[in-house]
Amino acid sequence: METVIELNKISKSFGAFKAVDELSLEVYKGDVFGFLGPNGAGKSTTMRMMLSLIKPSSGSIKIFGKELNTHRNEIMRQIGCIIEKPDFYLYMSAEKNLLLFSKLSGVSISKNKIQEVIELVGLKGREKDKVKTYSHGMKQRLGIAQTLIHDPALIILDEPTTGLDPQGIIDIREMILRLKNEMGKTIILSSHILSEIELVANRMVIINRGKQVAQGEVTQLLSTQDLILSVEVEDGKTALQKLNGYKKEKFSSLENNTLKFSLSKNEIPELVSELNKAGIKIYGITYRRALEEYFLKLTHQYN
Amino acid sequence: MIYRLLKVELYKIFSRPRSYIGFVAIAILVFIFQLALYVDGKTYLTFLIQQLESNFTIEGNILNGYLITYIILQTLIVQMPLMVALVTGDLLSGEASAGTMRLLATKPISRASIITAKLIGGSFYTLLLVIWLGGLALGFGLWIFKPGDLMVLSTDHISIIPAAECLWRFFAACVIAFISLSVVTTFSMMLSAFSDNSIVPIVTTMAVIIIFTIVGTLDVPLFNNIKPFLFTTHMIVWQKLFQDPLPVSKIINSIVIMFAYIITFLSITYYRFIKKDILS
Repeated sequence: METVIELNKISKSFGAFKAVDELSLEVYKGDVFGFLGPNGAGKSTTMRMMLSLIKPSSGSIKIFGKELNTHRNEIMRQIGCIIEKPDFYLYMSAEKNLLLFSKLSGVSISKNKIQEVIELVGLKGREKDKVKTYSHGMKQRLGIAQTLIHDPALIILDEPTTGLDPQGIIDIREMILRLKNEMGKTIILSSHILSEIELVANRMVIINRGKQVAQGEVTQLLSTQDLILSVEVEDGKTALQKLNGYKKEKFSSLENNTLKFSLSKNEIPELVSELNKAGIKIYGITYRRALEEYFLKLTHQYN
Repeated sequence: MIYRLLKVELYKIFSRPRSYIGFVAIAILVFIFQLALYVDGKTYLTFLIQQLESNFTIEGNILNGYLITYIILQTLIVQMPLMVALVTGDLLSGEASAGTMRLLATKPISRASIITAKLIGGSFYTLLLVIWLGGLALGFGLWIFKPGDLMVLSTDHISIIPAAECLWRFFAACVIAFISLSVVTTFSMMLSAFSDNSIVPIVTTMAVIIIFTIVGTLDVPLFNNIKPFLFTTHMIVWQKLFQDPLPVSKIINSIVIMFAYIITFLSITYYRFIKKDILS
């Protein structure tokens, strides 16, 4: 597998605050790589370092096999990005903005290409309007158009669905999948919503307080072999006594009459059957994958 | 790439309505001045030279195009830094506050190129303002009031500049005014590199110019020692071009000091912007 991005123990401190702490990761060609973490985890800082907006305090970044420090312009020619939110010159039209940024992208771009990208993101008919008249969703689409205008091999999208309505979120998600499947782009996508990453990414990293928590294939990390099952019962303490040590090693906690077990999906029927046998009244059963549960806890800590 | 960047920069400068405020303000002020002097110039001139007339006989077309231009330049050049700072103070910080700096800085262009293009763009704008002011004042002045010898009154002497010498002196005055305003351009750009808010550099530039100008006009011994080091002291050196004999060494000295300021401000701007983490 060809490595497109390689972060090697990068750190970034702002005074005494360490925003990113020895983070290492690899993104391969053709990946939709999810960058997941609660607000303030260091996602944007890491992405800004990949785009040379911020200089790392230590560590190294290689993109397309070259050091970002020494081959910056060569690397940037092959990257399209949206960082935080897509901001444009509000007093100019979308078309003029695209023309302007395409001139700076280091490759010559025809007016036809600009029209093609405008059509792709669904802004046809509004391209002559000034950006100040655009809704957030339209700006986000224009942001995507701007990332695609010079046909980059790598696309970096920092929380591209923030502030969008449900249809807007679906549109962006579909666009990301099209970019990967039809155009073969490598995409890095950050989000603080696990389900969003799960729907589009094949690999991901979870970071918290600037440190890596988990990294790997999305299907493996979110495997159904590793679930947290929550069983709501009438009386938690009595239920535990009645279970009499059954699946003791799988039991994790009791919270408000909800018993929590760590087990795999195929162990659920057996547990339910045992609860029935013990005469425990079940009011509800839900499960989350272990990583999902962990991530939810992280998110709650910050909200 | 720098040429492309410069084209983009100029397009941005001249796409914004605020860039035209200076041109419109200058046009209005020049028109008002010339109208006022056309209607009531003789009374104004009589007031100015009433003391001289008791000792000298003054003949010829004193209220001519060159005198009108000189009066306009003397009055308006003081306001020019505001018009310049309004645009140049916004060059870097405006992009930061609008969020477009993020996008600009991820393009395959060096940060030094970004500043260079903005500097050239800002300087070009400043030059156009100076040409606009000089051109309007001189063009309409000569058209309406006709040429003549220029009489310049100072506190301790009178200079009479022959009409034949006036044009090159006005041209040189505009060049020096451009250098003076370049100090303002680079100063406001330097502040702009430190701020993510465009109001701060514009207001700070004006505040510094006002403070320096006040310090420069106060006749206090303590201030007299620092006056030669204030850039505002040298920004009015263009007036020395209308003295006879020409104080060449003083003019050159001021130009050198202004260039020293320009280089210092630019060095700080480049250093700061290249090292800066773009967080906006």
